[in-house]
Amino acid sequence: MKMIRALVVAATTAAALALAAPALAADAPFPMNPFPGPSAEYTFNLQTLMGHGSKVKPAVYCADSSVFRRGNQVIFRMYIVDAKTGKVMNGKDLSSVVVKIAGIADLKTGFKPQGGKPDATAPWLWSAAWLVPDDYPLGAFKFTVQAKVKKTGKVVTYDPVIPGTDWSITP
Amino acid sequence: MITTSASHLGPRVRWTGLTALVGLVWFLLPAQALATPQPVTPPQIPGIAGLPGPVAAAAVPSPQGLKLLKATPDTGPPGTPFVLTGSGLPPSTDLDITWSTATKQYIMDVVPDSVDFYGRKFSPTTVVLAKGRTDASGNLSLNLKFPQDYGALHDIYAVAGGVQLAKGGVLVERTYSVSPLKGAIGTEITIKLNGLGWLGYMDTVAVIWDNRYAGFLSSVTTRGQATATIRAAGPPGKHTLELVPASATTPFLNITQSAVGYLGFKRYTFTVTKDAGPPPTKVVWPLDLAPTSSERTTFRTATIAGVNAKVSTGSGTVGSKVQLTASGLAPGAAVIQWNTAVGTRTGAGYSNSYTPLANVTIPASGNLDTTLTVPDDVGGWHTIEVLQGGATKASVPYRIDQSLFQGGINGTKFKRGDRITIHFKGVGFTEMDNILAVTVDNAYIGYVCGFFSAGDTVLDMVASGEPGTHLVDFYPTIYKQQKGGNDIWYGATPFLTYRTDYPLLALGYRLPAYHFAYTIVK
Repeated sequence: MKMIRALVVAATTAAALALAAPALAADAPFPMNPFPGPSAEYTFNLQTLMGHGSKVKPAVYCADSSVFRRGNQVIFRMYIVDAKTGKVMNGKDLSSVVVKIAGIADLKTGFKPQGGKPDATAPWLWSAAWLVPDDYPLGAFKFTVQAKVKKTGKVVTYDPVIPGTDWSITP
Repeated sequence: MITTSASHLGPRVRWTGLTALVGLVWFLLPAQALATPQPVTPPQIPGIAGLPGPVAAAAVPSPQGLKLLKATPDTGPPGTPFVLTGSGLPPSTDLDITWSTATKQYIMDVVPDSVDFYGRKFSPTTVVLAKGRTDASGNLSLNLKFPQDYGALHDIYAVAGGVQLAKGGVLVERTYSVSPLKGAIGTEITIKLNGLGWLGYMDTVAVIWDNRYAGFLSSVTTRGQATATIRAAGPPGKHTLELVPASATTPFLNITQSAVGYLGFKRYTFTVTKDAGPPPTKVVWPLDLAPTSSERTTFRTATIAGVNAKVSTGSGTVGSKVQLTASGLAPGAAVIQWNTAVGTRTGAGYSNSYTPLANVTIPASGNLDTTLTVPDDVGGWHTIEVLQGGATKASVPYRIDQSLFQGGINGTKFKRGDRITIHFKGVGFTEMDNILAVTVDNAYIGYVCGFFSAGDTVLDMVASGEPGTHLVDFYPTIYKQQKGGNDIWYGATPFLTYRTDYPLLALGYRLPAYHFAYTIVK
């Protein structure tokens, strides 16, 4: 169930974008927000995956997951979209994107082709890898993502945790 | 002088007059809940701990980010001592050390013609496990113990002023005890588990005997503890007993590949030393626990002001005698009525039913004192009513307990191909007492139901297997769950922890397990 959550987050943001125009044009009887959360200038489409750098081998590499064992490598990868223009924000738009993990130094991401290979067809994403330390606390795993917009200097924070469905670290 | 007549009518005999009219109205109405499904407080069970600390006040993560707490060791069974350390915290500050856990309850709905099962509810709960204080440098060090609590992963936070400053976590591992590990066919094997978790997949453990599913243990309301007994099935030699996590009560055979792979499983070898013949039939009842709810099926009427009524005993088996006494009644005719449920869940439906037990004449004193025979009917809670002029004057609950009919099994020695019958009375009508799950030699084979047959329940099977002693066991089980999304938890399979963790215990039901044996002879 937890594994699905990242996709749900992604799907929610995608659906929000797709539905924005017709929903706003609809004959709403009173001012209303058609979405389950507040509106945002930027949307994050985030996945966490099992990395090839895992010391503890997962059943399948690159599988989407929100449950990681100590010794697994977590790959954070995401699109960040300007909700106003629909533009996928790249290295020219964002000066930094960092993953902030409790008790760990900020994890810097780079705007790279998927899988790290400069393939003409590979999608480009913001990504970074983190090897879960052998002594990292078990249980709920908290993190946020902070992106700094080059043009305005604004720092945008994304908290992907839905209450009650934390990512988790297991033995 | 009380005169009594027309007693002992079966529940399917219809009635006349106003009583019939009332009954007809009930029959035509759809079964409706008296209340919405509710979590029901579990009974107090000896040896089962409560929450491991006072409930903590709500807290939010520090906007500056969380520091880490280190637990050493961070894995172990309940009771494991550990040291909790942290640094970089505010100096000389009092802290609450909080522990994430849960409370769990069964959700049930008591309606006139059933008790419906709606599954399990868990409520995440955070308690204060300990108090601590940082030193002048902002360091924390505390010697603590894993409490007796649900197992699996627990988050630990250091909290000051409603702000979570640091986070740690531990794994409370489950422990297993199986004893003995050798004995004759029929030897009772006690399985004790501790540290089962509170989430689905974590509070249920399936028992597998020689690759055959024997049933499940649960700790829904027993805070991680579960105890059950199975019997050693033959033939003599080595047998494998496995304890594996279960989801919808059935075994999850590759749990180690799941997101909760750390739960693991356990395997034992049991040596059956000999075949000493069939052990005697045995009926094992649940613990005698005080119910926490007074809601009763069919208990739809109340005794009116000025009338007192009681029965000599609140429960018994079909055919037993019960003395009904009352005072404050009006002199004249009265009807003593039995409220029950009839029908089927196979399609035609079911409803309440009302049957006269006796016509009596109340003397000038207004007192009633009569002895009734408990009808041959479905088990569970019923109501005995005293009616005068078509109105209910008194109403008392009465519970029919299950019983064996003529010793239950029709013999102890059979040849292959012979028919074996096992016969019960008083099997119930709710979703949690209308069927019994059946195993043969620790292999689950199905269930028997007693609702449509007014509690009369017969297993008709063919003797099979190798010559020697074979076992047949019956356990309480849940027939159906009304709702639950992805947390469906039933399966009509043997509920081995029926003595302590069964949902209906909270409502005052007592449902036994039955153990039979027979020998196949050449």
